[in-house]
Amino acid sequence: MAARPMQPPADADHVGYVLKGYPRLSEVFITSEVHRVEQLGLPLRLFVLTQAESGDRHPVVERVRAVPVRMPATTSLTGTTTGAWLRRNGSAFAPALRRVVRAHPLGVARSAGMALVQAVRARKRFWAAPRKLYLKEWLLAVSLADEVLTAGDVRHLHAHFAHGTTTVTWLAATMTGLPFSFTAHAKDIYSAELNPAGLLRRKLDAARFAVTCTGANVEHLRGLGSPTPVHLVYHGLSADLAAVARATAAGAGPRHAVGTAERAAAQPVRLLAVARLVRKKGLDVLVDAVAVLHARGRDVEAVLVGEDGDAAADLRARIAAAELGDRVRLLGALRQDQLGDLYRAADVFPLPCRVMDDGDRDGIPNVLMEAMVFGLPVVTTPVSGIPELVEDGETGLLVPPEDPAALADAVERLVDDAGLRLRVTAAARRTVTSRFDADLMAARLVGLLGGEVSRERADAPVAVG
Amino acid sequence: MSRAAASAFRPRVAVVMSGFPRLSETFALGELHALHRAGRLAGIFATKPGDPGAHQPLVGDLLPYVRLLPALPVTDQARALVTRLTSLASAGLHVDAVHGYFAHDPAAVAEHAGALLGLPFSFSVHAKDVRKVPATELARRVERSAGVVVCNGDVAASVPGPPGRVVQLPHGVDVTRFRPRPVGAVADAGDGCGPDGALGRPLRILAVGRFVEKKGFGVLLEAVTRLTHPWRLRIIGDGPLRPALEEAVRRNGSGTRVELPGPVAHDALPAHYGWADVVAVPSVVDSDGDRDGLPNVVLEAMASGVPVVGTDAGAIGPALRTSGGGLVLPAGDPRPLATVLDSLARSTAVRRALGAQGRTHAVAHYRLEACSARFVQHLEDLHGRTAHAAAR
Repeated sequence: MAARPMQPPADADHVGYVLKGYPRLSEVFITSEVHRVEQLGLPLRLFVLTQAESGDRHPVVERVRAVPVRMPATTSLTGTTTGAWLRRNGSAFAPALRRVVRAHPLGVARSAGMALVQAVRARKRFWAAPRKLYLKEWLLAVSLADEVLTAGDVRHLHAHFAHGTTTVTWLAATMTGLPFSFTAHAKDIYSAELNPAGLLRRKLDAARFAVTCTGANVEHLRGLGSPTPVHLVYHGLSADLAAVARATAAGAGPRHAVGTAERAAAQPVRLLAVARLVRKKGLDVLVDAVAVLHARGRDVEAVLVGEDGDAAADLRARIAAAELGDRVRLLGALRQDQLGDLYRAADVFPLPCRVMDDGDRDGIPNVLMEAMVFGLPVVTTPVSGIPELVEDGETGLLVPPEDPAALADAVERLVDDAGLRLRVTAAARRTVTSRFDADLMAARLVGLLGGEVSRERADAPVAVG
Repeated sequence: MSRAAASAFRPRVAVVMSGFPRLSETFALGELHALHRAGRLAGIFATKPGDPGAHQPLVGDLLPYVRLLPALPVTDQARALVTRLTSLASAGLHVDAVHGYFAHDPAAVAEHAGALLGLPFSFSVHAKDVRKVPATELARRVERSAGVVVCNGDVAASVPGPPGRVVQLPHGVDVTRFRPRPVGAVADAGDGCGPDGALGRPLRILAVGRFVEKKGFGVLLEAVTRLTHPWRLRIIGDGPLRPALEEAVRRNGSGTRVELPGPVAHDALPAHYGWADVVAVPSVVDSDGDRDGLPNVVLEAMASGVPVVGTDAGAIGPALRTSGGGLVLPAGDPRPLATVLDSLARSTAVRRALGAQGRTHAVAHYRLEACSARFVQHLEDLHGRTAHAAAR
């Protein structure tokens, strides 16, 4: 009746997580998921397709038990021929290929056929050569299969991001005969270029199941017509953060809870947005909205927190052109504990997300949930999965994307209407804590992945007697 | 022989039970009672005595059928059964087939008796019974039988047989007796927990089952002590591990928060599900390799619209995954269980959603009438056909 020790037994069945990069600061949600899944008792092995990245690490990385196993480094495919690339990179894969062929000759042959068919199907013009990309992904799959066989206790593979990583995982699963599943995010399923020639549908067909982080994504994936089940698993918010937010709110009280009249007269309205400076976050619209508010005579300041991305230069130029240098500050990336103070000091959290032409978009930005548990009212747009979290007028305000004036109006409504603000922030906090708990989301994943592992066991001959 | 003629022949079946009636094994009652209602039940023959005072609903209708076989080896019990059936036949009550309700002794008795009488036999497989029969013997028994009924996929995986021989028919649950409590109905259960939705109200956790190792209640008692959220735990049932569980409660000082009210009359069970915010089914594979199949508590919780936290032992995981009625964790570790219970305590919306999914699934797939009717229909098809083939 005694409980099993926390450390999994040496021969425990493992799930192999396949990740492109790890640990990435911009993908802390994946590291957190890995940590939570391990804590819930599902033993993991991490297989990483690229080399370690330098730079800051989120503290959760230290708490993950699994040690990442990395595939050999490769040089870029662009501007080189297949032969030249193979001469430079092929030798790194040769020993693995020999071992995998010995263990699973048919699987290797089948996967090579699949990669070749895809390389031919996905070529950009009829007379073009087969795409080199799939040779590289096939070799990575050989290496992955080799590592999986070496580990000897991996019963199921799970990939994050439905494009390259899932392709590699699909090929490695074909080689080894293991089942696989994947988590889809956004760009990886909406951009046709990342999964050309019906590749996403074929991978979905081959997978045991797929999970994704918004109901909108679930609809999109189910719309592909595959019989494979697609499950909704939100990223969710850490209960620890919610507790921190609650504790501090009970103490000093958020700044925006102070009576508006005297505060509005004395202090500027503070806007806070936390987002990488990339186009899909719509921060340019936010800067324009600050200009609108300024022109309307509002005393307003905006703080933008996030590392530079493809929109950084445009944002800086836009701020300079509108002469808002003293009104809009770019703070770069910050740690979670530093963010807490900013959440508490702000009045409104605007995030006017947009869908990009190539299909890239946010799922449900985690920062919206963070702002909501800190009692900060959010203004955002009804794109992608955001309406699943923010209901207009109930748990925040929704405005159309690309509309600075509407965004400015919504900010003014929240600043001027204390009743609305109180109602919305209370409902928002309830929604996040009662619907988006990260541990429960991880438990759903553990249930799905654990089922595959135990099905593997059930499929094996069972001794009766 | 026309199909119509074959289906017009309705066989009467003698059922061999283990101990009967019992406090647990509620699933048997639904199926036997359906046979009785359909007029297909020739008799219930128990290989051992039942539990004293076991009076679940429906038992009353079945008691007149029950005959206890003498406490003898299986072959002698089979001979005793043959004597009983022959005297029934001479009284004008014909018997067309013998069904062993469990894979071990009851199926062996059914097999022997069937052979002696020249009647077809079939048997059901549940959970522990399959592990009481050596694999070769089980395979031989499946081979000789007219058909085998298994109640979940976990059992199906351990019963090999020619195509069509083994059929999976889940047990059902009474979805009219077990139903979601109306919103706000339990304003205050009088347990000091306060009304639904009250801030900081303790999470009410219910577990139901025999106090044996495979139910994993020890793990549950350890898990609740780790909760940061306030909680109450009620474990309904009884069994050999009661002293150990009581000792565990004493040791971790949770006496006022844990109730072990003992076995509960079946009529009173729905109210306990109505009390619960979450039902824990922390089953483990025990030291003998025994494990749960799909325990009734899972179906009752789903029918009651209460979310389930279960483990991947036996057939609990697949049922929860398919239904969406709960969460599935690795078996045997109190830490994940504590994490998830704590999260569920906060996540009222998730609890509601899981509960609603479970209820919908139970009504669609596990309705007692539908499941029992399938069982009766299957035995009729099986023995109507084989009896005719034999007659021809």
